[in-house]
Amino acid sequence: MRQAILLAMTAGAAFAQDPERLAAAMKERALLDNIMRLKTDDRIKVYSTLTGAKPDNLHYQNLLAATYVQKMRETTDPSYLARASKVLDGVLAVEGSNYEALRLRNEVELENHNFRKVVEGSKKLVRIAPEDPWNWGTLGDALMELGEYNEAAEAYQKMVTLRPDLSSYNRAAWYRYVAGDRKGAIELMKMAISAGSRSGEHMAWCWVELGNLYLRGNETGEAAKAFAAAAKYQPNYHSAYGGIGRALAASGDIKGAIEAYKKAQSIVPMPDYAGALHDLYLREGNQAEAAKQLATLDVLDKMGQAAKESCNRTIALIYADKNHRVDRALELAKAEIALRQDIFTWDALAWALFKNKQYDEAQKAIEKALSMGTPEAQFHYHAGMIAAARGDKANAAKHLEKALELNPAFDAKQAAVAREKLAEVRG
Amino acid sequence: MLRTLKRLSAIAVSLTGMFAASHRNGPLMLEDQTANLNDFYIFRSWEQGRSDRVVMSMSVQGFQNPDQGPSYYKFSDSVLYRFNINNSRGLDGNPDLQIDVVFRTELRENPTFVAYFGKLSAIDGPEVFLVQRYTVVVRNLRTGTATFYDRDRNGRLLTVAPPNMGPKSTPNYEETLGRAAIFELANGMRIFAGPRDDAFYFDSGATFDTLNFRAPAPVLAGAADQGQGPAAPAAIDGFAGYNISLIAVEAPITMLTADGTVPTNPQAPNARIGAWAVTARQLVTIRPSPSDPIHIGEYAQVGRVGNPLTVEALIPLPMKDRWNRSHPADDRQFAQFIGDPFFATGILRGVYNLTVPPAPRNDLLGVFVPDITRIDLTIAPTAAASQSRLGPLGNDNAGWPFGGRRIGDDVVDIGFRAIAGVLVGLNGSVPLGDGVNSNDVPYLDRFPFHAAPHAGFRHSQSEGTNGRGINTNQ
Repeated sequence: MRQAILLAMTAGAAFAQDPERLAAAMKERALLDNIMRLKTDDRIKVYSTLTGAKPDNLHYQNLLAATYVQKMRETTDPSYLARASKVLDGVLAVEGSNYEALRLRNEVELENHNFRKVVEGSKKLVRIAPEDPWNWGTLGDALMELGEYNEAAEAYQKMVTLRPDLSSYNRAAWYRYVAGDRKGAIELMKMAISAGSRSGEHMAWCWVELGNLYLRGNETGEAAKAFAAAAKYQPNYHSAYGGIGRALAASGDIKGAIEAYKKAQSIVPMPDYAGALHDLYLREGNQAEAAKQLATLDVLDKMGQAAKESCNRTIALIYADKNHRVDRALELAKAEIALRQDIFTWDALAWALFKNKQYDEAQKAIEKALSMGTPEAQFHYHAGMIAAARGDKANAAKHLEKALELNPAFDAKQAAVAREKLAEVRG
Repeated sequence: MLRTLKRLSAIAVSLTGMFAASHRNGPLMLEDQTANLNDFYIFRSWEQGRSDRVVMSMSVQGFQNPDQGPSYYKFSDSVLYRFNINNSRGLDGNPDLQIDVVFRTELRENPTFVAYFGKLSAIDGPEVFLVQRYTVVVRNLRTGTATFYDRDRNGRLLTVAPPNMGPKSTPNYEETLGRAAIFELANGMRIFAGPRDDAFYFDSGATFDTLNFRAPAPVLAGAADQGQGPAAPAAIDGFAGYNISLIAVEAPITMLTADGTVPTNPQAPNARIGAWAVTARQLVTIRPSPSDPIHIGEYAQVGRVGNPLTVEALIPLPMKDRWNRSHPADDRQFAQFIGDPFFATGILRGVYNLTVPPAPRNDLLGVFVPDITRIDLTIAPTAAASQSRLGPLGNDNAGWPFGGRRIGDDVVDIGFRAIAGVLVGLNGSVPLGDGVNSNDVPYLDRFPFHAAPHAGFRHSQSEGTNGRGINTNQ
């Protein structure tokens, strides 16, 4: 806050001998300080007014774009991303080297899954501003999605060394998990939460991540607490309710899980919610509602196609799990692996290949998924099922045991299949 | 089915990137509230019978609204809050002694949705569901020794004072809860951590309205420059009515000097010490390794404050992050900015037609490089009633910038005048100032000196009284 006094007494050489510019800058600084404390929607309104009044001020445009990105994070409504993109196009058309805009452009590209482009963009920005942790963050994020884990670790290490805070700690936590250390990941995610942020969405995001880390080890009680904390920080945060649904389902509370998933779905209809609700309604014996959820999934897939979205590993996995449209599952997974080669996409591809009886290809894919030693029960379940299909009983037993050891409740339906298959291969 | 379709298409206005969130899009942020240091103070205590002690305090998380429940403001468990003391080598900006404070939050079984419920019987009474404890580490870098304290000399766990909620939950706040959060350690130090009134005062609103100072500011003639009350009655303290989180320590002078004595000769090498505050977070290793299971490592500095106004007044904004990462011993790298401040040439000369000293400003470099607050320990503390807000400029050498920095020192007015050249005999007859000459509420005359926090139930933000006339004890 003392920065508020900055421009009153600034040594900013840019303003030297130009009191009018300085006075204007002082006014702006005070204004922007106040705007920072507003809610996202109000910030959008104020910045829109400012950009309208002063269309030449590129900084206002960048602030507006950044707020649109934040709004997209809060709502998952992609139209905000499109708006941000348009604003940034405008800024970069006027000033191609505008650093602030280039940095935001990278974040938008990341959201649009243009990972290779983000790597290139971040590397350029790192050369311009090697001490800015932001660029190392986007670089690491894109490399993680591309499965280039060694380089990603270096980028994240750089980021956290420059500035240990919520942004860098949560990335460190995720890397730890991917690299096999779930307990360390939990510890680091707690540090991210403790580091804190004024943004409720940022806090909620980390709480959901913490909940997911707990859930991956079947610590349902701790997970439920974390998801509840997320819901408190950010009202109507769909992933908090999705998390509550998963935690309740894992602890056997079907009715509670359905309610939570319905709430999540009413906020944002992510395909995983339809997938989970389909399973839960079937377990309840409610065929009619289950069928509706399956239909919803198909609608979501069609909408994706209409939007020229060729890949979606979430839908691929759900279809494969349900033995529903397994050919489409493979199509989606293959398109996704062309875009990103991270372990989760390899796993989705392996599962889709397995369901299409392409066992040798599935084996190759699942080996890639397992290559980081990630303690993900689902990977080992898939590996076990693939090994069994290929007649490799020893490896089938090993992986199925591992899956159930990591998380005996990783998925009510699939865990049951895993147990059955394990009994069968042990013979 | 049709209904589903309609509902879905209503949500998805544009479909591109409908599932954009299916990758892990971690937050990227620019603001870091819990590690954000506001002010650092160091002064010889004017509490009765304790003038042989030095008080240091740091304030963090500024602009706290007193009614910001249900959890209010906490110290961060992942931040190391550190006082650095430099007492040797001609005050080169390297620490010789460090006092670290690390917090840990205890969440108790909570039947309610709030962090505090009912009348608080004690700072960690059963009505407090969120308790913050802390550990103090005193490090002597010359001997390499470190002493840890997590209890006071009576065995009580070091605990943060709860917020001041109002007459029902925290009646008579200062006596029952504020004082109770002062702990004496076995080494003779006293410490306090908790919410307080922000002691800083400044007419930020007028300054930012394009230097629209409320008359008679910015040149405070005669009575307007005297005394501790509001010089310009119309001036508004932009920090009034807000709370900060404070960590304050009181230590015997003998604990802080290089030779363990109380200096009496101002020429002696141990007569002066310098000090500053930093916040740091732990570095972590990204890659797990079986041979190195401890993946949380040394602390990296994320913020620092020595003198008031340095980063605000003298360091250009784009340098701010580098400044916060760097150490006072390396402050020569910023000398070009400090030695030729734009406030002097751009505003004082450009706007107010004052003749200012030529660059490089060695008078300012002497105070700000390295950026540590210096205190001459041979200067006796001034009693509260006799203190001048202008410190040495008001013939009261026990204030900033020579006698440390007291909480009531009007660093804005002193800073304005110092930059105008008063330290080298220029513009002494132009009493510059913002018009606010005192804090919104009186300070305490005892440790930790910062006034009790404003209460949530009724405070000047809601009453529109600009902080004045509201009893923070309720």
